[in-house]
Amino acid sequence: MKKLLITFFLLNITFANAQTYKFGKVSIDELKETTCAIDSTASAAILYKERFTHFEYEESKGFYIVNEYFTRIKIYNKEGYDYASHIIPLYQANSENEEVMSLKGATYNLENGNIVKTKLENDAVFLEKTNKYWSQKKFTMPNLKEGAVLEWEYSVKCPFYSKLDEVVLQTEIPIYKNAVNITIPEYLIFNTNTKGYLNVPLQQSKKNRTLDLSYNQRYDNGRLGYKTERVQSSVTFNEAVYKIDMLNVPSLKEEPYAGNIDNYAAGILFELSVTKFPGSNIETLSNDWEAVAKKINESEDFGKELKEKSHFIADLPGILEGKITEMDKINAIFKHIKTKIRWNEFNSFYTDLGVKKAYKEGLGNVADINLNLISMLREAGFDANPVLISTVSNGIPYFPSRQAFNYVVASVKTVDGTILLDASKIFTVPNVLPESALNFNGREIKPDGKSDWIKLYAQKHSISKIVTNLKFTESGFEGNVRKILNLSFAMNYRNNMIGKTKEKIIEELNEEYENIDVLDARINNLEDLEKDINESIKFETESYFEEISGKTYISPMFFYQRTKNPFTLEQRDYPIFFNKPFVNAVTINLTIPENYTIESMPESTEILLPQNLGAFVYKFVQNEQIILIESSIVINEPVIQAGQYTIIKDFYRDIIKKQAEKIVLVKK
Amino acid sequence: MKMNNMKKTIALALLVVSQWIISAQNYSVSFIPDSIKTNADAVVIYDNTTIEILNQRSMNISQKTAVTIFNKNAQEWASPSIDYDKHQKINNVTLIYYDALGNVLKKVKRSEFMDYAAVDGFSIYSDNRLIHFDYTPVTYPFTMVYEYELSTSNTAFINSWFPMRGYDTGVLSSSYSLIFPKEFKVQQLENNILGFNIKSQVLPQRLNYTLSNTPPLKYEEMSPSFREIVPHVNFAINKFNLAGVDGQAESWEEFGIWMQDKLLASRNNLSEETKTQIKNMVEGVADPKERAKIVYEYVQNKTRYISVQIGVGGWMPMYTDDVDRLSYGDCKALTYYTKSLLEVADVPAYYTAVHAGNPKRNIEKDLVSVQGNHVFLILPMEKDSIYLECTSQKIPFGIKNDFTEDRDVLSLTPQGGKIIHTPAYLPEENRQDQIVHYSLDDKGTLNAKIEIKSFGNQYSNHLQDFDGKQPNELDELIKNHYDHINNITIESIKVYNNRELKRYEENILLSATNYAVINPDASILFSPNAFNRLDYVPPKVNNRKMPFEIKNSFKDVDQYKIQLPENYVVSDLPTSVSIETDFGIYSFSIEKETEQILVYKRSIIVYNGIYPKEKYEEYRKFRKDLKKYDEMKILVNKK
Repeated sequence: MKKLLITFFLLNITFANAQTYKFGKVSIDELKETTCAIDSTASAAILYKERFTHFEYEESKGFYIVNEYFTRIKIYNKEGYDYASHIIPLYQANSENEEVMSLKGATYNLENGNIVKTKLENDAVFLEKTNKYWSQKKFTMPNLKEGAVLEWEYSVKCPFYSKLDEVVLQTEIPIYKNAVNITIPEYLIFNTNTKGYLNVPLQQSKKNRTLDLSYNQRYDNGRLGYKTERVQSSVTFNEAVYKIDMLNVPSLKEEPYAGNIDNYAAGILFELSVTKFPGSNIETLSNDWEAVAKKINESEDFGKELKEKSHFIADLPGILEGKITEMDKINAIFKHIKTKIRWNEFNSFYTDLGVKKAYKEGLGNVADINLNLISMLREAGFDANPVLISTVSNGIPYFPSRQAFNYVVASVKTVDGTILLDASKIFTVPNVLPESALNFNGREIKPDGKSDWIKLYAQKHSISKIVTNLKFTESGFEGNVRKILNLSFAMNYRNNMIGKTKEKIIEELNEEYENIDVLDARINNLEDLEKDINESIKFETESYFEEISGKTYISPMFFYQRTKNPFTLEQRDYPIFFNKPFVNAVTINLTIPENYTIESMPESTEILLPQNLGAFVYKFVQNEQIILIESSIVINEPVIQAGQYTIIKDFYRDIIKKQAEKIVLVKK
Repeated sequence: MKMNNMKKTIALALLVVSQWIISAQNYSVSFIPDSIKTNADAVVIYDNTTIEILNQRSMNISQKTAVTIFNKNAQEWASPSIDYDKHQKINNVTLIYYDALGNVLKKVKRSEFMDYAAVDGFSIYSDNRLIHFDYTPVTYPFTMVYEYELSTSNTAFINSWFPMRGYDTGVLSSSYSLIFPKEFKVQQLENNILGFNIKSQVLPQRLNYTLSNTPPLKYEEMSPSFREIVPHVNFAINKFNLAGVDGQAESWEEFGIWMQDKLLASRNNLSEETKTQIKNMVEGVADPKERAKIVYEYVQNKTRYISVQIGVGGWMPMYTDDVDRLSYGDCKALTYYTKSLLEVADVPAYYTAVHAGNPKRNIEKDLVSVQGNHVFLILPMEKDSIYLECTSQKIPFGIKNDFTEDRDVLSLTPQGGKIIHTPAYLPEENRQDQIVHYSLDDKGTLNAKIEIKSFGNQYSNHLQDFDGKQPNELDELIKNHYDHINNITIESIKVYNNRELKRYEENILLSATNYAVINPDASILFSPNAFNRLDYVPPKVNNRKMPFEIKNSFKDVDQYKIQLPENYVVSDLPTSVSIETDFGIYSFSIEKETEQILVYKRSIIVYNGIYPKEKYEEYRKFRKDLKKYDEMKILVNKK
């Protein structure tokens, strides 16, 4: 995994600037280059990448897109050979499909001062049908040697005029020069959005164009009223021209814990927002978040679904019977929906089977489940609303579009504030969403169609509280541990342990708690979601102490000692996602036998982080032969900004150092 | 009239009832005996395979399977897939799901199956496809029942019988029948049949096998591979067809000759220029080993590995002239190309088929049939044969390869096919030598210079992990490798693939703060073994039933020079330790060289092999001791 390079080099590279690029005209200089001037560690580089996208017109089909691509790549060494293979994904739907036209390619090698060309033959190009919607055209360049220059050129005809593919401006290898031209007729208006950290020089201009178009024209036919007629004429219209010329683009390298690395690659996204073809009405497809939410709310598979209640109305009185408080009622409905409809592993905010069918058959996607939850809560008199979410793997929603979201949960107003509920995952509790859905903010839609952002992270701390009683015998320790978990910690624990036999659980606990023998284990409240998890174990161990030079050194935190700092980078460019504020509290009562004196123990200490980010409290109290150890790690923020990374990294470093200090015993 | 109607009604009723009786395989879960379903994630109710060979070019397979799934762990059983390629046709597919009482939950139509390319993730193209149905369970338990028929012309591969498909799965009944015409001879090879509830029948033109009432098998840590434990039977037929090519063989000699003639010979069409070029390259070189090395390194530098699985089930290599022109190919293409070039250089080389990878798997020598998933070359020499892996651009000439060593392979010699056993790596050959100089200061900071040389399978591991990686990838790899040390800063990493000496070299300079623990009295506690700790102890297994396996042998030799902080002395040093067990030998010693410098030496050798279950606790004790001594600390006091 490599560090993300966000510095932008501006080097003067002789041939890259001066040369104009044409297929077939590879220069000796390009072949002679031995290392990449942008990044000397690169195993390959794109010398030139060109994309020209324009719209064409066909009488029977209307407008379609033509994407023309030309790429020239330099391979410096064997590690770059992977870049000599290329895949063109082709989409198909409703018996229409994207097609590759006129593919040609060649490899050039320098042999004894001469340029030797090896053509890409048809038998090295494969078309593979991947599934119902996608095919792939694949090829790999022949006669590859270190130092080779490859190029390929092809165009793709795309019958779907809304499918304007993302302009990729940054790849895994550096790019010397990238030239992009997207020319769009005025009849189609696209929203654009730039992503990634690089500065993208986007130039916009207009040009004229004339085409023979045919369209419906409505005209006043006098006494006979209005008439619609198919007209063909030569039409002059404007085209919006988007041009990008970028030089010396650094490569995009992956980093650990980056989440969705694609979020950071430089690029431009296009989304069709308005069409106004001659002779047709203006059609608006998407606009701002408010409009997007409104449109979703009005759709059949969403808004309309929220109005359905006939299928559950009869069950409601039974569910609410005997429930007095607000939370009791909410919990009862929540529990009912959870057990009634099982998740079919599909995410969406549009329903799949529909709320009625899903309720009856007991199976549905996330929307089928949670829209039912919202309707039922509303019917019971609660102020409940849908909240649209883009899950972590779906990425951060860049700009207003229905495609930005892929999940929906319920919000409900209570006296203590608004809480969020997800009934598609069995072990969630009120206001604890599954980690996959915790992606900054969601969009809450009110019944009137108005919407707003709402924070997804819980306010309450998830707490893990551990109490251990241990006795030191000459050969080790024996004792018991009680662990109490709530909220997020409880949810994760239940997800992990449900359905496992006692034998399996003891096996897993043995693995989780290093170097001890778990003699017995009991877990309470595994299925009772309204209660905290309560795990107790009995154990013995021969580890966690050492006899050196006549003294005994004990590791005071035993198997809870933090030995590994999760934060190892020098610098980090994006946040740390803890996903929840939390407390890890460990209390240890350690009994030392009478024949030992406690010579020394670590000093108590407190570390308070700035800006109330968190704290570490470490206490040692001795009472004759008993030592009381308390360690508490608190983090108050679910997401820590990149700028505060070093604070957290040092925080963990100091905790590790402190917890490594020993208790020293001497035999009497 | 009334009587007639009544008769009709009764007849109708009887018809309905009798049909109900005929089709009433009851899938109610209560019919599964407790002994089979306790601790089972799934139970195979029946799994019946009937294979009928009609003639050399035609085989029909009929499969009827019913599985009851009890929980999420066995969920993949619920979504069946059927593989096929262009030589195979799938017919009469039915798929029905039943609930716990045996009532129908869902009937699936063939059109609801999705058709996918069987993408293996690394081939640029493959003919293989599969159909698949994705099912999400509503409640557990439920039963899935499916049937299909497959007709194929590929009689070279007869499905083996593998009645136990996984851990935690009980089997009520699994049966297999192979039916073949009189003039054919069929061989069967039985593995692990004893100790399982299996009945077999050998009849003229028919073989039957049945496994019944078998409770689920539970996984135990370090068990040998599943294949080694469970019963399975492989089959071969003496007259067959492989993707359009007829074949006949009753011995390996015959088989080898068929493979050479029908699959390989016609693929060699090297151009005259290429032949001349090779002859020039080896001109005047008398030693065949030297000539082979020149050709091998030429191929390594010229070609790269691209997987293309087309045609003949992927069994015929590309034309040698194509490989020459395109400079790429898969294992068959590159291996056959190398062999052809060696022929021109007057070095005989045998094209050899193998089951590559881990766990180790033999070509079954008692079953003459198409086997293996990889090919390489064996060069017969006066003394020791040379083994050439032709798909790597990086490995040294003639190195024993860790994924083809120590197993039976099929070599195509001029006299025909021959089974030979590839030599195994000896533990001493899988060696890592480490020389470390490090110093500590009075704050516990460590500064280290590490030199590592790896050989044998340790060479292969290091080559794969480190070679060709970017500096920041190496940074991350080293930090992960020494993950018991925090706060590492890497000053420099240099790696080198030393092909001449067949070893991988790494030179690392690093530092780490807080490596040592400072006690309240300013004494320093640290573990001398900073960079090579074996701290894993396998978990306890109560009432172990299976033997256990140590998969890889190795030998590590470490030498450390440790410089203590100024004004610090060590008082007591632990006495040297030496442990000898069946599993390996471990020893260490630590001594003062001067007041400031300690010398720590550590050596370990571990023997691979399968060990009896009774020795498992002994092995755990061995690992506990290794952990204890590798993590052991010493105390250093201020003067």
